[in-house]
Amino acid sequence: MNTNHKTVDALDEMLRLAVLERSVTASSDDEWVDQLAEFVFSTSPEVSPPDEKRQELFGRLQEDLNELETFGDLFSSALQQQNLDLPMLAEAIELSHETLEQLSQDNLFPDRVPVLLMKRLIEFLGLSFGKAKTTLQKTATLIIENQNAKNISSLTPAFARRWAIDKIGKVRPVAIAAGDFLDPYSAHASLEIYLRRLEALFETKDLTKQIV
Amino acid sequence: MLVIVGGKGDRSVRTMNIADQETTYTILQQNRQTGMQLLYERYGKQLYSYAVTSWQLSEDEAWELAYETLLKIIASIKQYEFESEKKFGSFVFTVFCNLLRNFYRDEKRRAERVRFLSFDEALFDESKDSPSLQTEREVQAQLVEQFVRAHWEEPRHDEAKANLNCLHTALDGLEDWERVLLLQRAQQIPYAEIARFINKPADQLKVYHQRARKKLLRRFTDAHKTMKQRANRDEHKS
Repeated sequence: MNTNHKTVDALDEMLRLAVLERSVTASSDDEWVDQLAEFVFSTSPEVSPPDEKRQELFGRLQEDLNELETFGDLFSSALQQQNLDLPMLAEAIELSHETLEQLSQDNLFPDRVPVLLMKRLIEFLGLSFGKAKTTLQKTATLIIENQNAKNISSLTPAFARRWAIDKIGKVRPVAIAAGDFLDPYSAHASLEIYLRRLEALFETKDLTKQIV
Repeated sequence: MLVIVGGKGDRSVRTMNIADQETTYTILQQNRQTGMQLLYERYGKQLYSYAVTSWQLSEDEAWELAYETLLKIIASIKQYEFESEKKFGSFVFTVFCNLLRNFYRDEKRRAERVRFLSFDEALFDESKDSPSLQTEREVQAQLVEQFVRAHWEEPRHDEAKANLNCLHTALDGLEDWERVLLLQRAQQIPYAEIARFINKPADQLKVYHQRARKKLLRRFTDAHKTMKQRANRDEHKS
């Protein structure tokens, strides 16, 4: 028999359940939740986790976050590590400051950046194609998931074209209007084509190196 | 606030001085590493302590919940905009409550941890001398037990949802300070701490708390009665 049972008062339990339900379903202007949150976070903790757990937590968080890393995360940390700023980068890559900012915040669907400029950016930041590809896919998923919840500005074109396969199987640029956005299936398909083109560009470069 | 950046296996351990007015979400959006540490210092520790003291979770369970909360926030920070640190705090709290709610709904886990204590009659001494009051208390006690059991068994069931609506109606009908007192006391928060928030003398809070419990029970019973009458009327009509 478990001897570690705690006893709870029925009315208090009812109120605790109310706290949980209300906290989860409340609207953002519900004073209830604000009051409770303020209370919890302004009170000094009665119990502290052991110190060794602290470092373990950051290590584990870092590991799990690496799995979830988007291109924006990768981009931002590369900027920091190399002490670069966006105006400097904008000049070197010939991408606008605004586009770079959107990329760093995962606010721009990757295939809205011309593939040659994307390649130049990845190389300039010293990133591998493999890592860039994985993170670009995560960024795309994130944007697609968010488009209904937030707005569709992230899917509007920074450049008025995207890549698609035409009737005879050739990859061609397709014009898209401002305000246009893609359904999830087309967005993923378009990204896959974009990534294949990007990969081909990286492979061409490697081939050139071998020949030289 | 001093935040340690780096650590085990990282030779570049250093401290960064983060001004108290700098918002956690801005730092987290700009620099994940520093933001992560700040998030833990400002919110993670408190959530851990809150889970242990107010929700009677074991230290390991509390740690896991705090960890999951931080992970979810860091991973999704770019999807949100916050108008102030206070609103960010509410967001952190909501994420935590969501995870806690899922955890709490695991009946088996809960049954291992908590023994259900039925309604505390000792809190209503005066009912011993008054038979009608005693009956009323018993009805209230039954309702509360039904509420908790229905919620534990199937929170998405109509009965549990209807009960919850009655409780929210009853709580919304209380004075702000009475509601805060009841909710915080239910989470084992000491009277002295609660007093800071509701501007009432700490030594009076025990009495106020008993009164507020009775007031809430009365309102809850009334709301429940109204709900039943309405349901009966609707059933009769159909």
